[in-house]
Amino acid sequence: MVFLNFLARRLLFQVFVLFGVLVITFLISHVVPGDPALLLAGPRASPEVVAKIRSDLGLDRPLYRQFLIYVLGLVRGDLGTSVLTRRPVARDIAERFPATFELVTLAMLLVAIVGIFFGVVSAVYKERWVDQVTRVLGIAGASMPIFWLGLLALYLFYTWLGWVPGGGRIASNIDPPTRITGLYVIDSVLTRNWPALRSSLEHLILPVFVLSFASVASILRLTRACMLEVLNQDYIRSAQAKGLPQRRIIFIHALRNALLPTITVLGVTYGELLQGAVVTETLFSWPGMARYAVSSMTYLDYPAIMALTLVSAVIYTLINLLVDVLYGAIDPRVRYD
Amino acid sequence: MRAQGLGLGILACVLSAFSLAAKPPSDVLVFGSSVEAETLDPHDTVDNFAWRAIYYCYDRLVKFRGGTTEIEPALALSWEISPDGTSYTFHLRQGITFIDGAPFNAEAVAYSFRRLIELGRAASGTVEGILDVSGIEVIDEFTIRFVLNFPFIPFLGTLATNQASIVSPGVEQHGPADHGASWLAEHSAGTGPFYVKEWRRGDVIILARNENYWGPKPALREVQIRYIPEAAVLRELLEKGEVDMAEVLTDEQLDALAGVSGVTVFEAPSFSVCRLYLNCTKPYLSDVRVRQAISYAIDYEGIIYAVTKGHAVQMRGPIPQGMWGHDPSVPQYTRDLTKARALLAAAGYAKGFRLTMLIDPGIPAWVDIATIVQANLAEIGISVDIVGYARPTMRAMIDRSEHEISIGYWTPDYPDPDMFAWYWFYSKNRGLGGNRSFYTNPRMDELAVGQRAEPDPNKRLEMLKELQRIAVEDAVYVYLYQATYRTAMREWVKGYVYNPMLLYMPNFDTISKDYGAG
Repeated sequence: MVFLNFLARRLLFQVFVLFGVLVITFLISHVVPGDPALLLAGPRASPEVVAKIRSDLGLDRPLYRQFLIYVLGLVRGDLGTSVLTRRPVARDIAERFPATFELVTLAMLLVAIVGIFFGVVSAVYKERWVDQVTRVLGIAGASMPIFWLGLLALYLFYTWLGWVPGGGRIASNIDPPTRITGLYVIDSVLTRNWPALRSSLEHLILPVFVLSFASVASILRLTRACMLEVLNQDYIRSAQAKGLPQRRIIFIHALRNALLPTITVLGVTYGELLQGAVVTETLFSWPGMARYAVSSMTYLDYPAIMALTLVSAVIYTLINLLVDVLYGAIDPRVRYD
Repeated sequence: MRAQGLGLGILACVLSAFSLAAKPPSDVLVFGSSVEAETLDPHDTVDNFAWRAIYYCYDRLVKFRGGTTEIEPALALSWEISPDGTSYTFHLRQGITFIDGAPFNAEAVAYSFRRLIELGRAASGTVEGILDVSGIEVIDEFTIRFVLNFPFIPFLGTLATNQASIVSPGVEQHGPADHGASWLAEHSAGTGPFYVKEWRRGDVIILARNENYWGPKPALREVQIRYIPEAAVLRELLEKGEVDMAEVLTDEQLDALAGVSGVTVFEAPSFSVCRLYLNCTKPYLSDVRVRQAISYAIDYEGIIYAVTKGHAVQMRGPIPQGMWGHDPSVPQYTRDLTKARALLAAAGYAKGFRLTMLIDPGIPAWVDIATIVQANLAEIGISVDIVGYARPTMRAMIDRSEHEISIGYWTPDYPDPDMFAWYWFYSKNRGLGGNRSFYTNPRMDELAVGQRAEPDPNKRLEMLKELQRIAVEDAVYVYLYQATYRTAMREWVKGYVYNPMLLYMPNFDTISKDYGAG
């Protein structure tokens, strides 16, 4: 009950946060000088065409009315029509979001599993060769720009070795699986479309690896540091003195305590991965949201910018909520109040 | 971490057993593009990358003959033009149906042009002020007449371009409020050799052959236009043969590809030009001697080399070479600092002054050009501040005459010098309309307006010659360069025909593939 109460309050609070985000984004994107009508009107825009487009888009109305119209539409579930693609923004995003979600979520899973596991291993085998290797990789991950790493990986694994495809979500001679969730991996499992599953997994390997590399490194170093601190504490020594198996001490007693900072950072990592997706999607011709975001910024496509910000804000606040919930699950001292 | 590396290695080995990088079938053309289309409505966009996808999904009344800008019949079998040049009567082909099953007739033609005009989008620019809805007359089921507001000489040429695509009246059922615009933005409804089968956003546009096409059947069953945003990756895909044709690549990449066996780099002159705008309403620049001095100070060869690696020629006046009406005898500015300094001194600015140059730093070529212009003008005492703004802002500033020097590309929509003469110099087009130097000259207005209505080609040529002479004398723009069009494809792509009016729009209808050819 206390937990549900906590959840309800947090969700209610979120609505206010999102409204704030909405107001700020609307103001910023509309105050920037420039006019999407001028871009839409083409290279040789006559004033008549520009005026017609501006009134079609509602840009000739006062700012507060534009905002009011937008919010009223939003309440009805209408995200507006994209200036650039001339389609409902909701459809544009629905089509692209699953691709980004699939990429970023798999990268996130890789970050969590690989980062935490090897963080623990390198703390336990401190100053041994495992630790040295992960340290080098940690520095490499923190200092290699995604763009460079991505090109390098493409050159090595696609051009030179030919092990993975050169980009896209699925091979050009294979039809995508029937759309259920929009996530190719899940849809192809659900429809038992094995060729599609294989092809989409092949296409995911390199982008997921490249996208997660930097974050794996930082989570790994963080987990290692926290683990080292915890492993030096008295209760661990007691556990060892009692003769508990080493594996149990590390993964049950120590890790649970060392995990709190890592969970916090993992929440932020999802945001970082979304950012990194812009470059990754470009490099790997990944038909996701990030490319759409870039072009909507370039063209001041207001409805798309608003909707994308809203989607990111929702994801971000949900992840934060999840992090808070996880705190309680990991640390019984944390109370939902 | 070693364990992870090992895991990846094993995974990769397993994967290598699969057959990746399969060549597409020989009747499927994979076209890789680093630019994605935004909308597919021919009556909306003027974007060549959108036109590439739809040009062969539609037919027009007339078409370009092969690689030339000459006009030949398409949906219209024949036509008559009234002696005063204002009335065009077209006799239409019979027995054709649209891909949606609607019959093709004069009503459909009338519908298409009404739709173009009433939507009032960028594409309508070519008929704006020339043809009104009231000028469209259906004579009988297969005869249509257009009555123009004035004798517009390039009219026939505009009918071969994408804006003049004939769209099925059936699109109306997808939303009468906007003439089905949001539906047509991602579908096609034409009589052409292909149709839009599927558009996976950010990924691929798939064109399928129209099996009921009235004309010669295309060899290709399917064309996949794949969006590969990173040009370096696109080049790799072409080298591996996973894409058959690729655009847009950088000059460095094209130079590298020229040495790859199995890949052809095609190169031909285009009508696409680059010019600097010298805002004639600003202090200093309002003086013709200052504009001439700037034109003499620019290092044209240096710019052409730095920006295009030599794949361009310096413009000679405003009308590009190869286009009817171009005057090869018009004087051309070359770098002459002595003359430039003398002109500045004569204007009373021997000590120089400051100017700003507005660019969009997102276009690397513009950054290079601005830097060279800055260095060139510094040599005659003009110090240039380069100001960068994102494209929407830059365009808004140019429209409001807030720039001093700025820059832009220009590619004609229809094969006629009118695209340069009228748009660039007519005073009513000041701003984004085309006259981006905000130039006003009553004589030039007469010439710009007069030439487009002059039915006698000889008289028209004389007018265009005078216009080009004044345009150079008055140094309205800095006429930088006329770009060379370059594109890369596999050698097994056969029958490619380049048409300078259809940049980035390869002839999918007559291209074929022959893997035996390498």
